[in-house]
Amino acid sequence: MYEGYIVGIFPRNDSLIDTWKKWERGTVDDGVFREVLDEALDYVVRNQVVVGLSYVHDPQIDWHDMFRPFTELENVSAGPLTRFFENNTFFRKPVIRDVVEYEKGFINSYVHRDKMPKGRRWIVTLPGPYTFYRLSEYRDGDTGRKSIVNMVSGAMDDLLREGYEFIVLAEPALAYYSDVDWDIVSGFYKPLRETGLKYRIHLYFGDVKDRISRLMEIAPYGFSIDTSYTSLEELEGLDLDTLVLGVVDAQNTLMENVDDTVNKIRSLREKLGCRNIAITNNTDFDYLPYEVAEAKLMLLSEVLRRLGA
Amino acid sequence: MKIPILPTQEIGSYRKPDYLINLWKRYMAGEGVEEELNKAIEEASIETIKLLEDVGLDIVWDGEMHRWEMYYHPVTYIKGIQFVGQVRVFDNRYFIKGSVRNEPKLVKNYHLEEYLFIKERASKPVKLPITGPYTIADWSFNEYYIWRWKKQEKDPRKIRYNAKRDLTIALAENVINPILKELSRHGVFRIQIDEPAATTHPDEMEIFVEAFNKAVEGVDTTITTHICYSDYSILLPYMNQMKTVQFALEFANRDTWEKGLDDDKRRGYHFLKELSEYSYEGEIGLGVIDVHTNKVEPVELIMDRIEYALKYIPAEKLFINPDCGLRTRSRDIAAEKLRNMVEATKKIREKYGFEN
Repeated sequence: MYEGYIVGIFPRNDSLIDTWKKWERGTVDDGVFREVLDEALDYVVRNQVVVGLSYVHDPQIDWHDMFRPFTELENVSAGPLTRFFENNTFFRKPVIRDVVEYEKGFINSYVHRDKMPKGRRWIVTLPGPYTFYRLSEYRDGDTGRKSIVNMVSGAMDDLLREGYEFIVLAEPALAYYSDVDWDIVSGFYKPLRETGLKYRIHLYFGDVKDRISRLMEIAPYGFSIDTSYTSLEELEGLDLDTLVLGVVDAQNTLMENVDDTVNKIRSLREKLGCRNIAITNNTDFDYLPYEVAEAKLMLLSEVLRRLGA
Repeated sequence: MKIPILPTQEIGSYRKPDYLINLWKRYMAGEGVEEELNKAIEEASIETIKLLEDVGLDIVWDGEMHRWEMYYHPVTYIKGIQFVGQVRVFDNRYFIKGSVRNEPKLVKNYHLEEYLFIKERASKPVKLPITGPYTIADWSFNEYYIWRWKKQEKDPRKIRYNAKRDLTIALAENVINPILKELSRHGVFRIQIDEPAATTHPDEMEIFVEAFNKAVEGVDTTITTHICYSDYSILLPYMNQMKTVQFALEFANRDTWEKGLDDDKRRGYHFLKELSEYSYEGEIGLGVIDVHTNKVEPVELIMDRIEYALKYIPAEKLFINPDCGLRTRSRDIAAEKLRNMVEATKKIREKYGFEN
């Protein structure tokens, strides 16, 4: 079976960027800002339905970065601007001062459940615990780990109860760093597996071909491969229930060739023992201008259609 | 031109006066105000040169009045790169990013008129900052070379690396090198190549160095470089390979505000110790002003930062500057910061018996 969906933060359109600036300067009021934001949110949701993606992803266009909602909780704050891996994009480093307790229902005001279409399956992306841990500052490791478990599992529990089908956990740190501490990773994921909360791990910014067996242990519902880093040829023989392929490059405006992409996926499927293959963008579309992200979303849906999904 | 020991200099951008910002915005929005904009640029340029000379800098320029910003300006004059839209830098801050759709070629030397205008009006030596090839490449979408490499290579890592190399070298050879050669023929005192992206991809350092050296090949003037907010330990092994006499680096941003000369108080400057143990013998542009805060560094604190640096870098190799361009501060606050920097430097010269 083939599935297709988008992951991560979707870019803001020019009108929203401009209105947001004016709202920050106080030259437009809350009502105008809300109207422009609502329109942009509705459009991104509607677009995913129209093009026939398998899941509708919460647009998250009002998130400044993947950690920002969580820095509103007590004992954690938005720290210095910090480069996000190797990009010309910066996030506010979460600074954890003491153990952070998740407040039930906290995350619900940062997603857009009211905009998600009835009769469709919804998903949303949260920071994966290891990436959250690697990119945060904390008093000590134990405080950091406890806080992150509380925040991520608390938010996942809320969102799954709200009707989201599964949570995409963004874990670029698991793909990027050569010195991943797998004991810490297991410490995060073993209890998460035991809760039965449904998630897929999304990996990007690195080649994971040598980490597959470890990823299989921590991701029972599937994980992704960023095909701009890992060659599909190197995945042959892989035996998984669900493999997610980040086939649409969200870091380049070059449009993928649909025929080539379809042929590569079909050919890979024949050589794999995977029951399900899902196709996505390799990383957040937020690295692209809005119009290009829209075109790439269309391209993803076209590949999905051609695969016969 | 003669400059004193411990020369003071600005790094790059200075906040534009409001009248110029408004005209730039209208111009960017396509309002057809080119004539008014050019007049305002000249006016602001003269004002800023005077301001920087009045605060007492030894090396001056006009603070980027001729440019919208350091990426948009060069790309406007490079054939083969097309602007495609806004991409987030952080929060709700965006920059207009270009896609490389063909081999980059220089349309026009986008710094020549600017330099000639400034040279004519400055009474002190002029340093001209120019965005380097690696940073332009890194901040662009690389469509053309990825597309070319995909036709002959299957390994995605090799495709990305080779495409980045080809683009960066093309920018160095086709765009930056001819600009530098022409400027050097007009007698520019110093050219500073800005490469804030230099250490962003540690596995691409060879590309960065190769492109830098190709950009300055055959250029007959003094070349310096500015790098900031980076992990300098990545840069260290490559510093001697680069054809530059100076690295102007940001330090104050990572330092404390406490006065004193001990390692703990001056923790933002520890790299200098590492550097002194290495065989680098070139100049260092010492960032002593944090450009991200309105708090003005006291003269005594700046003196401590300079004195700490003098433990590791000989005075004749040390230049004094802010961490980076001051465009994020108001013109008044930036001037106040620079005044204190100049005063602190003069006091250090007196203390060590150097001529002011």
